[in-house]
Amino acid sequence: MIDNEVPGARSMPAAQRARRKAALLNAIAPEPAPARRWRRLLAPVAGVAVVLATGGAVAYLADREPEQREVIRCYGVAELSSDGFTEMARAVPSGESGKQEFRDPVAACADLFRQGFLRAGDKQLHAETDPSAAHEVPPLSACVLKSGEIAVFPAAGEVCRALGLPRLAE
Amino acid sequence: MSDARDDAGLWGEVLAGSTDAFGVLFERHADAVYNHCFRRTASWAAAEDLTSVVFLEVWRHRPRVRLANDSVLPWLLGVANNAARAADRSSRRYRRMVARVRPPDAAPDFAEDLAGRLDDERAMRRLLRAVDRLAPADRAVLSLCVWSGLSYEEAAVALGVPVGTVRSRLSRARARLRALMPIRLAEAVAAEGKE
Repeated sequence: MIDNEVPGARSMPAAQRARRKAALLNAIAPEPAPARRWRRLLAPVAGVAVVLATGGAVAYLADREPEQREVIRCYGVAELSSDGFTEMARAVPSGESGKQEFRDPVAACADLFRQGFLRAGDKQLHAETDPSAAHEVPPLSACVLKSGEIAVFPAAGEVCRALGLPRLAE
Repeated sequence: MSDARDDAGLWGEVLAGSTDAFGVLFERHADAVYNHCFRRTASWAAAEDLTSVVFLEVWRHRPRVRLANDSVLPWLLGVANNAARAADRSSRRYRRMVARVRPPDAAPDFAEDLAGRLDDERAMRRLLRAVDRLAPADRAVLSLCVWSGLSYEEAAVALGVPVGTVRSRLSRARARLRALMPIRLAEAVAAEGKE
């Protein structure tokens, strides 16, 4: 059978491996922090303020517990867009579940902003990042989507209710 | 010295931006990725470049990574499958990625086991001639489950498909290979003799 004919495994030669590792770590090393983007930061906050100012009465929504805490959404913009977020998971349970939950989803999403994956006011998930934890982190708020998933938005205050969502129960 | 922390713990640090933790994961899984890439390309030199590219891709997209059974390896192998396909296409993007992670003195030095590695490459090319007759999705499952030893559940995470899909694709791949092998191997052996 074909699986018996596959050549046996070999190790990458030690010297090559060391060089490869060094080159990889060099390629992902932190770069100097970029200039702060206050305008981008303020845009979503201003957007929410407009929504709040013009939206009139905001229906009361009780805070809600999520359906699960293993996968969360971190949004780059303070709106319910279909493409302005990235989903994060710490583990995919296959058998036992629940071990890798996000106890602090706001802090987890803050990491994405800090490293530059997400940038306030920008729907795109950036691949070129800076893990030196130097990017600006906007105020963040955790809400619960209709699906029961936690969603964290880059805005403070009443953003959940402005979006028609309950806040994540403390 | 090996690091006692498990992948899940290390991955938490990676998500917080730790390149050191990522280096530990490289040490831990580089050989598995390297061998998987070899089985997809039949070239040890290409497998080396691909291994670097896989780790770079996983780092760049780390928020999207899913662990399976608390291991990052299935995800790495899933990315390796995609990277091997891109390498087939010799895409400009792939070449740029290789340039980013290739050390200055990257020429592989296989002096000690050169003959053995050449034998490996010949044998693997022969196998790939048969396996290339499978649909790409079936080939991916075969390489993950049969050659790299992932469970159905782990392969499902690596490929982003339900477990049932993994089962059916593997079953289909095996059946097709059984039908193909006598003819294909004969053709492959004949082709090998002409090289």
